[in-house]
Amino acid sequence: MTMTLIPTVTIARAKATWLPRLVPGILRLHRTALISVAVIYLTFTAIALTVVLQVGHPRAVIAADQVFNGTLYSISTYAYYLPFLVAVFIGAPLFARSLETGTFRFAWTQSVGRRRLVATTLAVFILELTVLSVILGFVLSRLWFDLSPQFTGLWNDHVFFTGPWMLAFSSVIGLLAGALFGVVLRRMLAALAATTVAMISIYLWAIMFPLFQETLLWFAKRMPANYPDVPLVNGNYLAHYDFAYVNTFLTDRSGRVMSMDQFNSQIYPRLPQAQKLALNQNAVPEFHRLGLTEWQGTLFHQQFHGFLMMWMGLGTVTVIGLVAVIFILVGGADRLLGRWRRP
Amino acid sequence: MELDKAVNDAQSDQSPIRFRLSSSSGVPTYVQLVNQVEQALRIGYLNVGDRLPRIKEVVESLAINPNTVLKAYKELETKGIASGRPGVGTFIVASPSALSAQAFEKLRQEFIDGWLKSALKVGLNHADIITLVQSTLESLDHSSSTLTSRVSQ
Amino acid sequence: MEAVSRRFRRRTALRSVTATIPSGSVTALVGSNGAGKTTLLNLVAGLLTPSTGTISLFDNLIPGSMEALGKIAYVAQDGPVSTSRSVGDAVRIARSFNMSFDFDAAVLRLQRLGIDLGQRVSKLSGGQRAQLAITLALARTPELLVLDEPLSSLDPIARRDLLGELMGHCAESGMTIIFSSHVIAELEKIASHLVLIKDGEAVVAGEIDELLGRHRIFMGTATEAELVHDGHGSVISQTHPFTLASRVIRFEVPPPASALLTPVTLEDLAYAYLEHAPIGSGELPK
Repeated sequence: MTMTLIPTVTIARAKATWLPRLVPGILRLHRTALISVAVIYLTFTAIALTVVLQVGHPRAVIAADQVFNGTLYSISTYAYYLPFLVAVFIGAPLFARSLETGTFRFAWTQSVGRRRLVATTLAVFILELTVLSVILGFVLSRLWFDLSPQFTGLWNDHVFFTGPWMLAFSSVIGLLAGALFGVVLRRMLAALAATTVAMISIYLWAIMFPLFQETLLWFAKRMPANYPDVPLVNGNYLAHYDFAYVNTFLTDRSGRVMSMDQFNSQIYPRLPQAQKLALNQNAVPEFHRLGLTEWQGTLFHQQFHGFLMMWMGLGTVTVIGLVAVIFILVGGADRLLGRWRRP
Repeated sequence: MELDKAVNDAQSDQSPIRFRLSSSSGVPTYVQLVNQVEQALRIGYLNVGDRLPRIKEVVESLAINPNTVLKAYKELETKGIASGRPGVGTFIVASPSALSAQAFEKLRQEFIDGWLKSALKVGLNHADIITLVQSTLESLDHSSSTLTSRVSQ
Repeated sequence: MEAVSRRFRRRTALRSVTATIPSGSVTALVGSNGAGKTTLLNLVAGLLTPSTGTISLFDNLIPGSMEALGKIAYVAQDGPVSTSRSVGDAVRIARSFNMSFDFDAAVLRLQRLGIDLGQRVSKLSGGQRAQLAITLALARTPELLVLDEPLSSLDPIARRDLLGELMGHCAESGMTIIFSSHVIAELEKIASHLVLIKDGEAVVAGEIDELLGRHRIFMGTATEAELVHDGHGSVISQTHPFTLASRVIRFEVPPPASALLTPVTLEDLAYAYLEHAPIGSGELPK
């Protein structure tokens, strides 16, 4: 049995002739799902935008509870659950439907070929989700940032996971996870159930702060420790530490490393007062545990979109991994068809 | 077996003959087609120079394999009745030799005196006789057709 | 020219099939339900991969490869064609899935059959769904058309019209057709080749004219039948060995002309092999 994993450059070239023909068909075939996604994400965007305008920019002085108790604000926070919806209602039926009804026998014997079909279908959904997520995420980030001086509560996860890139990754990974369950189980109901369970588990992991933090720290611990004389760059910062060494260092969003001294003298003084305030949140005990002094520890806070780099890396690897597994299961694996074929 | 004269055989591209099949007669399909052409020629429905229906038309209306029609047309060519012109069609070039009423009567008498009387005397009934005649004819058809297909390869 | 030859096994679904099918032929795949017909067709269409052996199509194309997919159209048995809502959607989606697709011909054919483009696919009858699937397959002008029991949901008139239409395509473009059927009666007129599947094995595979030429019916006991072929053949029908019965004999050599031997019909042949024949008696000597 031959298996080809990721499409190569030659396939990409061949796709160029197929795309103008194939994409309209895929849009037509998945019309309902694509429109539903657009409606939901755009609705959330509109609601969040309304709240942003309520708050005013730059940050107007308004009572926090005015906003926090507002319905629209509450609804915006539910954007956090969009990846769940996408996974269960868009991802799970994506392939499970045609596998269950048997229409895949028609689709996979057409000239286009099953791999091109699957690839283009995924690409269309991933593109839509990415664009809509980034837009929604930008609006929400604006919202969180504008409200940040007043915050004292546990909205860490919402803030972190509804950033543009995090929302995009979460939505796409949700879609792919659902699609994968669909391909494995070949039944809509089963895929729906399995995806629901999986997504709930993932959300619990994200919500449970110790669990979540430990995962992030697992990666942070494995970063290298010694990088002298690195230029200073503005942007988000990531604190790294190493138990074996006294040295602690920081990297910016692009991974360029700077020393703590550099950070302390040149970046920290320039941070807006509000951000500094926001830094002094629940993370302190955790940072003490890690052996960081307070001023170092406070830089661990997610509001800096710290770990974003790591998460983007992790997200990219996960997306590629899920796509690869889907392709392995789809391409030429006849065990996929054998067992469930009999009516 | 019936013959249909096409309503608008005034149209030059419409062949005058339309084939019909009798599915339970036991006679091979291509033989039926050959017979219908010969019959049409005898009666006068078909004349020398007329075009036989295109294979596509025949198979579409009768739902038979194109090879069967090919076989029939080839048989007609072998018999010298038809001739195929590539790209144009198959045309009638000659009539089958007409059997005069006299010759036909002679054959019939030969059949009765030479075989039928002894067969009946031995004890064969009507059904036996008909079965025997049919199966012998079919046997001859099959063996001759496999022979010709082998030869043509 | 173009030939299909295969030998393979696939778990318990299909044990071993070897056959050669020339292009332009119409092959009937006959066997009882569950014998492996659908599996075989799925293998040809590229939906399944053989566990052992190979299938070679046209100029050594592998089923499922891009070139093969472009030349082969597969119609599943009463299978729904698309999860789309309307018939028109399904046709347009099919068009997007193929480089060569005669959209107008497809629409015309559907109109002729009384299927409206606005109709919902879920509301179509079994026969209409089958016709839709066939329409979409024909619109691709395939070189090989693979049909899984295409006639089972059609009424007799529709059946004959479809067969006539398919034969017309054969005559015009030399399309090769493989279709499965568990009704033998209509096959003799349209099929040129036959593959009989019994319990996952091809007990018969060959050109129908040759098959009919090599088999004869003999009325007698089994022992008498053995004597008739005199070592140059085998008796296919094995039941009631000692009673007078109609037995099908397969000859290795051209059968002798004898009053005791009458020609077989395709039905006789099929029943004899499917009911009685021991495995492995089917391949014709070349």
